[in-house]
Amino acid sequence: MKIKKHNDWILILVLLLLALLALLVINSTKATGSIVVVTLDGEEILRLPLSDDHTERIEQAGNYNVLVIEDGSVQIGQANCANQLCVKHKAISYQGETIICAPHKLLVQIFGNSEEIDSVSY
Amino acid sequence: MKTHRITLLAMLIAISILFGYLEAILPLLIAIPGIKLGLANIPIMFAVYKMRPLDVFLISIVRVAILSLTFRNMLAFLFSLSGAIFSISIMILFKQSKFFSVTGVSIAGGVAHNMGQIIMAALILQIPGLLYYLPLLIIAGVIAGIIIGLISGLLIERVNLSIK
Repeated sequence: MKIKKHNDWILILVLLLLALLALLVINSTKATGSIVVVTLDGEEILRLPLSDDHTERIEQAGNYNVLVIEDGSVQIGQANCANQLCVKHKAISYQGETIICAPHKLLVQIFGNSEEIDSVSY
Repeated sequence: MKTHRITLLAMLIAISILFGYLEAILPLLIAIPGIKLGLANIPIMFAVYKMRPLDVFLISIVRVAILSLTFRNMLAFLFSLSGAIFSISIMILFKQSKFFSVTGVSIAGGVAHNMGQIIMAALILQIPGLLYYLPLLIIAGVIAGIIIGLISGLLIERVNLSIK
């Protein structure tokens, strides 16, 4: 029994290290985003720049989410969904980050520029 | 023997569905989709140790099918199913290796479940950004795994049933 418990701790350690590794990889590869794309039930309904502060109320069939772009990041200020996970989610600003309101089928995604310019020569 | 096995299977499935439903209506603690305690895994852990691997798959699949298809939709069913299948495959493997205790097996199962779900969701929905949740999901899986593992361990020790 002692050996087995010992192995459990090794497992926990390995998993926590894995989580740490994933976190480090994510932090080192994340790039600041420039546009917010909002998708409702699979269809794109909004495309806004992160640079301009903006508030938008998204309504459909009695459901609403309030999208707030402020200081280069976006979050959901208010919503009338049951679990409020989208509202509790912290503001996102990096490429690839997402906020999802599953009950409302709402997806908020951050994208960067479509083309990366490595160098320019004249 | 056969009737006994069917009855035990049915009871474990019923308990698993009940716990799953209970968790679904209780408020979630952390602001990430898919984070839950995994109470429904207690009867499954019981089956991992007291019944055959096939039985464990049966219980899991029926439970996921009933919960997802009744209360949600096809997509949720797919995600839950992939998490569940990955999770119990790992748990059965870990248990048979005799390398870990009940808690260890549960931790492995919990983490595998979360990872399976999010990876499948990222693949199907084509949202690679979902993988950003992996570190948190791993940690949550470990914590939930420990709690469920401790409870299941007690049950497995004290309940004297076994249908292999």
